[in-house]
Amino acid sequence: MVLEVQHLKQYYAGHQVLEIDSWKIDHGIYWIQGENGAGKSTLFRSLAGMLPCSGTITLNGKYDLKAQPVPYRLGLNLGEAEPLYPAFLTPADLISFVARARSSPDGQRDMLIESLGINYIKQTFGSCSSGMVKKVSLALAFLGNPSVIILDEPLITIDMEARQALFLLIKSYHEKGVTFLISSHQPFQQEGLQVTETYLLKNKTLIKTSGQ
Amino acid sequence: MLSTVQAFFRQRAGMFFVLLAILFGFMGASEHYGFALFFLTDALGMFYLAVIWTCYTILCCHFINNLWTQPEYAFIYQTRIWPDHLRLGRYFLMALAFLQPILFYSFYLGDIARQDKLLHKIWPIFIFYILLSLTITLLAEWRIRNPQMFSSRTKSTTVWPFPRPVSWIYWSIEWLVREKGLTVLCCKTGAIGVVVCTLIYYQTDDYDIRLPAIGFSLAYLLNIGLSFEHFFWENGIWLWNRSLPVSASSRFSRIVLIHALLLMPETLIGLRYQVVSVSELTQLYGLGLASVLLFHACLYKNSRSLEDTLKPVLSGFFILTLLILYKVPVWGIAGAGLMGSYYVFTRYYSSTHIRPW
Repeated sequence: MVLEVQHLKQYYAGHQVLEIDSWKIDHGIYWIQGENGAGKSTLFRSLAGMLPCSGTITLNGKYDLKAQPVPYRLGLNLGEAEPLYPAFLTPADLISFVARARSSPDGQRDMLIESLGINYIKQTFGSCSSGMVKKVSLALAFLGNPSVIILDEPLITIDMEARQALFLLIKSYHEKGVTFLISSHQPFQQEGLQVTETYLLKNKTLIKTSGQ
Repeated sequence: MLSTVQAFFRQRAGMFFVLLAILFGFMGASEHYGFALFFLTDALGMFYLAVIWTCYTILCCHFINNLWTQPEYAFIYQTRIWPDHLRLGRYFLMALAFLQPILFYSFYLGDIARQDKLLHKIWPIFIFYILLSLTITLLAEWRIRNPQMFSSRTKSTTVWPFPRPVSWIYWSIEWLVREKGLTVLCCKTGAIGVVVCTLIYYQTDDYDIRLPAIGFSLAYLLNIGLSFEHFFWENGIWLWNRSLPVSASSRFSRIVLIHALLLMPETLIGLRYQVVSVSELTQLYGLGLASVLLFHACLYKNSRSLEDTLKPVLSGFFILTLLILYKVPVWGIAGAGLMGSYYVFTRYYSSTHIRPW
């Protein structure tokens, strides 16, 4: 299994948001659906190690989030729905920093900048458009050599060219063995992506709604 | 009006910090006294003082003039509908707030004049003060009567001549200085003040290290505001960084280094006074670092507002004082504090919920 979740419980400000008893996925592209406030972003943040939670999360059958936090995080990247970065930094600063942290291979950084059309690389985030910030967050999600990439609402605010580039990247990474968890309120199968399974996040847990 | 004054001291915090470092770091009490006597007794002393104060007032005027052209300050032009006497009165109060550094230095000059029986020489500073306050008041009135809601400045004046280092530690300190400049200024002013007072008192008799240990601990603990802001940066502004592949011990090392840098200014001033030896100062620095780090690590155990942390901090300082008074070696307390903070951090970093901001 690429990703395995057992007895995950997550609380937000004292209110229980998630209670997933068992959830396992293998290599593929997974569409996570759910109404606003269902807890999709909280689930993704928990899987990425941003929010501490109870239960166990295991990557590739060997890396436990709590026991092996560094190899786990090296293998799982998150692109946030509404990324917030310090206003005084530039995309160049942040991409360089994350590329180093994630041991990004040579050339990967420039390839992502070019393919996603991040033009204002030296401009501070404070003066970047929301679309540009979103493109940077997507580039960060593809840096390194992850086994799983989580994309939380990747289609919001980006232009058509970036959208097409994003789907090409997803296809290319998927062919190399990367698993994707994608949340989106808009369908994207028409872009040629073969969704392995669809899950609905409802009543604090994941319910399988379709699959091959 | 208040937002304008706050913005001035926040954005100019770096400048004030450098001034404080010069005034309290490089200049000793005798130099301060010498300058004050020069201003009071030299034929051109008051003229030079007027020139310096006028330069500062021009800086304030320039700031108001620029700030009120920013789109987010468009609301300020609503003050035009206030009655004249109310508006000018409030501008005058704003001017007094801008001129606080001058007011504080005037108190010092007054004290020196009283001590050296030179009170008859001090009258020009009252005239300067009123004239400079009126200058700022009139500038504000002119700006309101001549609204401009766009900035003609095309290039930022704060571009560094070197590329920004790709360093988490550098970014963290840059964020503190840029976004929390007022906190930096207040914490450093307080800490430097307590360190200087402690060292002055230490010279008055034959004390052992316990006196500066208590004084320096208090001074270093005045940095908890900065430590709290750093916690907010790591877990609020930059929550996403928790998803990066960095081990808890590396994160703790970064926190130690950032705090070590933050506590450096008052330590260097302590060194400059040459009242305590280097080995004693190293112990005091270690004790202060351990105290602030323990506070920081405890935020991960139970994140709460800064106000809620004050009671435990005071209790902790009381216990620390008892330990120092009972002659527990300072280096021992410092070492135990550092180890304790590492344990608390690694124990709670990845298991405790951070309060959402």
